Order: sequence, then C-alpha cells, then structure tokens
Amino acid sequence: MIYCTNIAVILPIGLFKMFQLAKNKKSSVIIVRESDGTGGCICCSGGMGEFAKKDHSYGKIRKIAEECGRLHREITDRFRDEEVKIIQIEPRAYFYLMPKVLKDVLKFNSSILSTIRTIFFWYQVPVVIVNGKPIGTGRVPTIGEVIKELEHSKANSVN
Amino acid sequence: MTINAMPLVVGALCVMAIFYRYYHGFIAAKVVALDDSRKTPAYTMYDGQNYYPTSRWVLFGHHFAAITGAGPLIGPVLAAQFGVLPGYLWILVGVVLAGAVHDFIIFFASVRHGGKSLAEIARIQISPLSGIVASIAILFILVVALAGLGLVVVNALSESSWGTFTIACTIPIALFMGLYMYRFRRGRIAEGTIIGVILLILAVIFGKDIAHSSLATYFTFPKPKITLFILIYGFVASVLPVWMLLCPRDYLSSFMKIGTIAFLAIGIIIVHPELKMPHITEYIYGGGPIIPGSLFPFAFITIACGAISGFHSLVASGTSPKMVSKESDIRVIGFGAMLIEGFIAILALVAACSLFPGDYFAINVSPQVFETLGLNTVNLDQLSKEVGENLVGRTGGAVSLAVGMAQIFTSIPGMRHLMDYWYHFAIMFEALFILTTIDTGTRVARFMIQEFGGKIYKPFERVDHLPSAIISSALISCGWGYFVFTGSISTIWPMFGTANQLLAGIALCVGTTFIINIGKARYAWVTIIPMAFVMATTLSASWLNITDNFLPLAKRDGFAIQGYVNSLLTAVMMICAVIILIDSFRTWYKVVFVEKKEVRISKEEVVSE
Repeated sequence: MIYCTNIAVILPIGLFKMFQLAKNKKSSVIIVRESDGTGGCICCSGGMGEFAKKDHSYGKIRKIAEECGRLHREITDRFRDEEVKIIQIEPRAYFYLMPKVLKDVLKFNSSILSTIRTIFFWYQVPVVIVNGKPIGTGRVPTIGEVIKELEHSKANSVN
Repeated sequence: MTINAMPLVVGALCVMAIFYRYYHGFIAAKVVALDDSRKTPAYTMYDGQNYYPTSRWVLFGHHFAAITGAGPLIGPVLAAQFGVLPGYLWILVGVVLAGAVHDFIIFFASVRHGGKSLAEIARIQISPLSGIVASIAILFILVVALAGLGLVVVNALSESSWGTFTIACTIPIALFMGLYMYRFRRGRIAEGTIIGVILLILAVIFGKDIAHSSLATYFTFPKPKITLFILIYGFVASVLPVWMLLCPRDYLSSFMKIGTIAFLAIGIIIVHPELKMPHITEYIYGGGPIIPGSLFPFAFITIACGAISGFHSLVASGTSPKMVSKESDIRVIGFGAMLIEGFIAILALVAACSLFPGDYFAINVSPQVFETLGLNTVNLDQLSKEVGENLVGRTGGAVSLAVGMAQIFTSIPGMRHLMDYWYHFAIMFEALFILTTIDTGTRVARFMIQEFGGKIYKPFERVDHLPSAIISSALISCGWGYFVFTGSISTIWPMFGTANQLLAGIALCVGTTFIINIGKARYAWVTIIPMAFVMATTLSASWLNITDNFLPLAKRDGFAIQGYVNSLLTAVMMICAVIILIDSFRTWYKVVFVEKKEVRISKEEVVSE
C-alpha cells in the first residue's frame, strides 16, 4: 500500500516538475566525454585519482578531454550563464543524464530520430548534446557548430 | 530473540537525516563557514578540462560512485560476529560523527587549497615531513588493502567452478568491450557496456552448466592456485594500457554497483527480513573465531569504509574539489555521499545478520574451528543445496554476504527458485569491484614505487619505461601477493582495517590543523574527537595485533617470517601515523599558543608606542 502511495504521489510531482522546468527556455549544452581517471577510491571500487594523470595510456582520452575543455571555454566566453547551461559529464552518469536529456527533448521539440538517439545513448562518445540533439558524435564539434545548433533549436522552439 | 530489519533501517535513516540537518549544518555554518561568494577552484583555476563548475547532483553522483563499492559491504559482514548492535551502532555513530565529517573537512580543505591532494595539504598545513610520511603511509596502506581485498576474492572463488568460471569470463568480456569501444566501434560506450552486461549475466547463467559438466574440473582450484592467478592478473593488468581492461571493467562495475545496491535496498524494504543474529554475542570480550580480539578496538577497525574510511580522503582531495561550483554544494556532496555509504553498510549488516548464527559462523570459519564453537547449523545444508556449492568454511565475508543477499532477493515474489543464480551474481558483483581495485591499486602503487625509485635512478620514474613498469609492478604484486599467500582473513582484515583507519586518522589530523590554521581553533573538537577515537582504536588495535597475534605467530614453527613481516608492516604504519600526529601537535601548539602570544605582544607594543 505504502509503495503504491509513494508512486501515486512522487511520480506526478516528478512529471509536473519536469514539465515546469521544460518551460524555462535556457539553452543546454551537455558535453559527454570519458574521464582520464577511473571512478573510485582504492578500498572500495578501484580508482587512481591524481595518479591517472601519470598514465600515458590515457593519452587519447586526455586529448579529447582537452578539446572538450577548449569547447567549454569557448562557450563560456561567448554566452552568459543565464543564456546557456553547460554540463560536462561522463557517459556512466546515466541516472543524471537520462532525465536531463528527456527534459531538453521536451523543451526544444527535437526531431524523433535525434530524440531516440539521445535517449538510448545511440551515439559515439565524445558527443555534445545541444538542446537535446546530439551533434558531432565521436568528435568534439567546433564552437561554430554549437552556435548554429543553438540558434536553430531556439528558432524551432519559438515556432 | 529476533528483530525485524525495518526499524533498524528506518531508524538509521532518521538519525542520518537529523544529524545532516543539525550537526552537519552546524559544521557547515560555524566551523568552516561555507561562503558562496568565494570562487571555487572550478572558477579560479577554470580550464574546462579538469577544473570546471559542475552541477551539484552530477558531482554528487560522481563522488558517491567513487567512494562506494566492496569496502562497506565486507566489513559489516565480518563484524557481525560481535552481534547486530555493535556493528549497527558503530556504523551509525561513526558515519555521522566521524566518516561524514572526515570526508567533508578534507573536501573543503582541498577546495580552499585549489583542489590539492591530501599529501599536498599535509605538506602545506603541517610540514614537508608530514607530506613525505603521508606518501609512504599511503604506499604501505595500499599494499595491505590489496591483500585484504584479494583474500576475499580468493576465499570466495576457491573450489567454486561456477564462481571461477564467471569471474574468469569477466576478463575476456572486458577485453572484448575494450576492443569494441576503443577499436571496432570507437566511442560506442553505451553499446559496449550493454553488450558487456548481457555477456556478464550470461556468464552467471551458463556458469551453472559448466559447474555440472566435465569442464568443472578446469575451473575448480584450491586457494593457492587462485591466489597465483589473481597475482598474475594484478601484475599484467597494471602494465596493460587502460583502455584494454581497466576502462571497460570500470564501466561494468559502475553499472553493476548502482543496480545491485539499489536492488538490495528495495529487496530489504520489500522483504524486511528478521535478523537471527543475537544483539550481542559472547565474542565482544575477545576470542572471536573470525576477528580475534575484543569489541574494543577490533569492531571499530573491522568496519572501516561504512563508518569512516581514510581512502575517501584521497577522493575528497582528488577530482571532486576541482569541479564543485559553490561552497554550499560541499555539504550535500561531502556529508551526503558518506551518509549513503553508511546506509549501504547497514544493508550489508542486515544481509549478514539475516542468517542463523550457526550458519553464519559455519560459513565464516574453518570446520575445525566451528566444531569448537558449540553451535549447530540450521539451514546450511539447505542453503548449500540451493546455491549448488559447499558453503562450509568459506571464510572472507564475501560468501556469507552473497548468501544473505541471495536469501533476500529470493524472498521477493517470483524469485524463489533463483537462489543459486542470485548467489553467484552476488559473488560476481563483489569480485568485479575487487578485481578493478586490484588492477588500479597495483597500478597506483607501481607509480609510487617508480616515483621513489626515480630519486635514485632517474629513468625509473618514467611511467612509460617498460623495465621500470615491470619491476615495480612485480614488486607490488609480490608484496600484496605474499600476504594473501601466507595470511588468513583473521590476520589480513584487521591489518586492512587498521591501515584504512590510520589513513583516516592522518586525514583528520590534517583537517584539524586546517581548522586551527583558519582561526577556528575553538571548533577544532569536531575533528579532534573523531581523530582521537580513530587514532586510539587503530593504534591500540595495531599494538594488540603485533603483541597478541603476529609476534606469537612468529614463534610458531614455519611462521617466523610471516609473523615478523606482519609486525614490521604494522609497526611502520603506526610510526607514520605517530610522526604525523606529533608533527601536527607541534603545528597546533605553534598556531594556538606561540603565534597568539606573538600577536598579543605586538599589539601591546603598538599600544605602548
């Protein structure tokens, strides 16, 4: 009984909150990229922490992280915090990523194909999800591509 | 008298909520005075790569995933030998007063130090000597930690063809995932992970067929052989490029961890099992068959990660402080993540205590020792039949936890006949973490050895220098492998607990120095009290380990080297902790008395002038 009550109360509140947040038209850029360190402390789940920086075999991952860092900086240089929300996240943060992309998809009326791609993580990492649409999958897009998509989705959502 | 698990679980949640709201609120507001107008390193050192502001909940997830794993699951299971209450109370009191405070203070100190590591903070706040000693202590602690966790896997897999097959499969699965995600279909991490998880579940399912076929003999090994395999695995994995084995295994572990822990929590809420273990057992006075020694200090070092864990200070001074966007977020992340870890430890304790005492001890001690306990098994034969394995004398904690978890899962409607699958799933889940830990731990220790070696021979510190990598990996693997070969859970786990708690004591020492240095000496008790307790328990446990366990062991024929090596290692860790403690006292005295006096004198001089 208590579980049914919880579902009956929590689920509508969650959905209501999601739709309410969807009204806020602040743009969203989610940069999904791998981290150059494994998650975890050694006693519990294995983690290299700062020592990962020494491992040369993280080279490729680190290079992509640098490119994502460059893109992150370029976006913050061009847009104010109130205009664009940037999130840089690891692919394993599934539980956060899922509601976030759902919200973006609802907010910006993305096409069905890009919605499916985003929700089912049907893309290559690194990927930049601009207002619910994945762009530049498997590579870090240029700032120009990001701006173009931001303007395009803004125009779409207004229409 | 049995007790239902639900009041304990709900009670723990209530206590944690109250402490989070009031005590942790007090620390955040008064002791460290979190200030959102101060820019965090995510802004002051912003590079978009390592330093960038991150949403509170993203960072919470990242931090929580980093501090949670096998550690908080095994300790409470072993400490169940003292009964339900000692473990429950220590987890609850420890996590709210010590563990959460420890994680929070180090996190905060790291933020105020531009995201620096614990050793760096120790060097800045106390002295360069403490920085070096902290590094040496971390290396020794690492070796003991790897041995402790390695032994858990060895005991869980010995003479178990199903378990060994499943865990052996995780290696080719991870290699395949690595090739898939980084070579065949680059960047398809979601795809690779889904395939990996499916293969892993298939490995658990088909493990049963292997165990009942002629192939079983190829996967049935005694402890020494399993130890050798894990040792070789640790050595090879630490030299291989990370994309090949470590990264994919880490993805598998991450998803398995969240899924299984969530499922265990839901299972306990639905099933709310009766706890058959007595509230307190006779072993609180010592002579326990699993952990030798009395309740104080041994219960407090047996449960390490769930109550307070020194290794968390390495995470709290690692990536998280570089990404926190405002200081008030540290409260949610630092305190909150540790409180949930404590809650997971309570779930593990519930799972272990849901077994009948006779069954629990029959699993966790050797048959010869069990005969001397005067206990009878109740369900063990039935449980052994249901899981398809002999459960007698399967020490280490992992097996009893897996049985407890499987019992809870099978009590969920519709799961009744899946006991054997759930048991082996739980074993696979525990071993998956531990093997990741062995891989990364050996790698980290290798880097530390190379760092030290580089001071003597320069090329040795180059991590891409193959001979150096091989020599240092071999040294470390043999180091922890030696303890697994020669030790038992009764000798290794207390050493692991001691090592982990000593690191926590060192971190709290650094945290106290930081609080005093920022001019909040009157509130230093928030870290001094847990530090004093943790140091007292661990130093006395170390001392008792040496005098009561290791030195008598050294006097027995054939155990001389083992006894002396264990004594020496424990003594080195104790000395490191004492050096840092004395060095900290010196700093505190200087800041509180000498500098205060100097300020007063200079003020008087100004007035007289």
